[in-house]
Amino acid sequence: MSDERRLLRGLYQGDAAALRQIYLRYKDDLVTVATSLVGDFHVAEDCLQDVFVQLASEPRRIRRNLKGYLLTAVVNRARDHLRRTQTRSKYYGNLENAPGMADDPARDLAGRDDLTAAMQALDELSEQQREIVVLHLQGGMRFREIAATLNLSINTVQSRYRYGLERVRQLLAKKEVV
Amino acid sequence: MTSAERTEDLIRKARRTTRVDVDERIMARAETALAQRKQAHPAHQHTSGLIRRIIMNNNRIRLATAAAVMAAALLGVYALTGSFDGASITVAQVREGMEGIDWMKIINEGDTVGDGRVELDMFSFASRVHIKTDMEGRTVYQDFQSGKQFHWTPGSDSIDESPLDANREFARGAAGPFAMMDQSLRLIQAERDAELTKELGTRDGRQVEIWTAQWSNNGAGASRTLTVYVDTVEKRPVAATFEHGQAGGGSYRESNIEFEYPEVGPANIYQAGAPESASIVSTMKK
Repeated sequence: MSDERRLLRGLYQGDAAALRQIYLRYKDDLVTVATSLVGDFHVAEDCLQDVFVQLASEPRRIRRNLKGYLLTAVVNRARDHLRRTQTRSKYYGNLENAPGMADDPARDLAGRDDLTAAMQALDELSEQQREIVVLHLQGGMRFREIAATLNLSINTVQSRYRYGLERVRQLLAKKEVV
Repeated sequence: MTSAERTEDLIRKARRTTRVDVDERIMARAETALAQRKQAHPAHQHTSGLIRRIIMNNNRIRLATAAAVMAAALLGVYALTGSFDGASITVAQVREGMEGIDWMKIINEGDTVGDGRVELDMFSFASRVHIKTDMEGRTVYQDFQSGKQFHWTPGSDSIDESPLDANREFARGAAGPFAMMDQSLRLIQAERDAELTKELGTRDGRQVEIWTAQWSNNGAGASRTLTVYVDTVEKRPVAATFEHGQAGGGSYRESNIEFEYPEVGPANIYQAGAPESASIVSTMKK
């Protein structure tokens, strides 16, 4: 039995340890994706809470692919939030002082100013493009999985990704980041 | 590494991690939900997913548009033009009418009025307190003077006390209700070219001026309409609605907002709705 199936079985049986393991395994991916989608770290944490409370309440909604289920739930909550507020926070500013930015050697290597510029460039994408770019690069989802999750053709997903990434690249090139 | 690869690399590396106190809060909530499910459904009921889907598909409980957006609509005229041609009430009068307000209560009934489900925001500009209650009754009491926040979920016998993030500003840094609306509005309206109209009317028996802002939603015929009702005597906004016009014709209302200006408001999480029996569990550093 795979590790994920074991965790899911534990969750079905009401095992709190399994729930905690799932949370620790996926929380950072989920809060990263949520923050990029809604533009507000605090709202992203609230989304994360809703997703895990729902997971604990109704684990049998998951048929397969736990991570895909969790990322889809985050996307749905982000959409709910954006629909309610009709705006997305231009939150990033300087990432160095932003909450939730733990020390990370990889990030230091990349340069925090460059990361800030990249996230600000993401702000300029349409919601549809941003969802796909973020799910692929920060959520680690394949295009095929994204297509199934968002109910789009794989061609649409790839096309939106290409255009979105190119837009970000152009914005970063203007700032001489890439 | 090509510039496209470098772009992908940067986005991948811009990662976040949750805060420890938030981890504790989320796990506590999730474990409570897990225990409740175990207790309520020792033998799993396969109908629960279907029932939930039916409930979630019900228009009556669709999530409402946030009150803050409605509030932002109030002074769209001001943000776009600085004045409202032909209006008997000027923006300056509204500003004056809102001066000195301490408590402001924003009640968002979503797309259905009278079903008892509302989303509440209360702001005290004197005490720097923001209280938010969502449609499920979850309440957050944020005290920006003491730097503390309290979370309570209906059915829970505990209240989580945690520090407010130092980067979080009360009412996004606004000094009062007028500034808050104006500030929010500027954010929203900056990219839109709204058509603005006004007319006199009545609402709940009182004379109001009705300010309307409409803009194209996606360029394909869909539209959004914000309507704000301003009391002609008090010179304060009393209500607002938000409608979505569909490209093929027809429209539906997403939000019904009422504004109230109470003299006083809840002094703590208990007065905001948490039961006296709930005990406070603190994650504040000693």
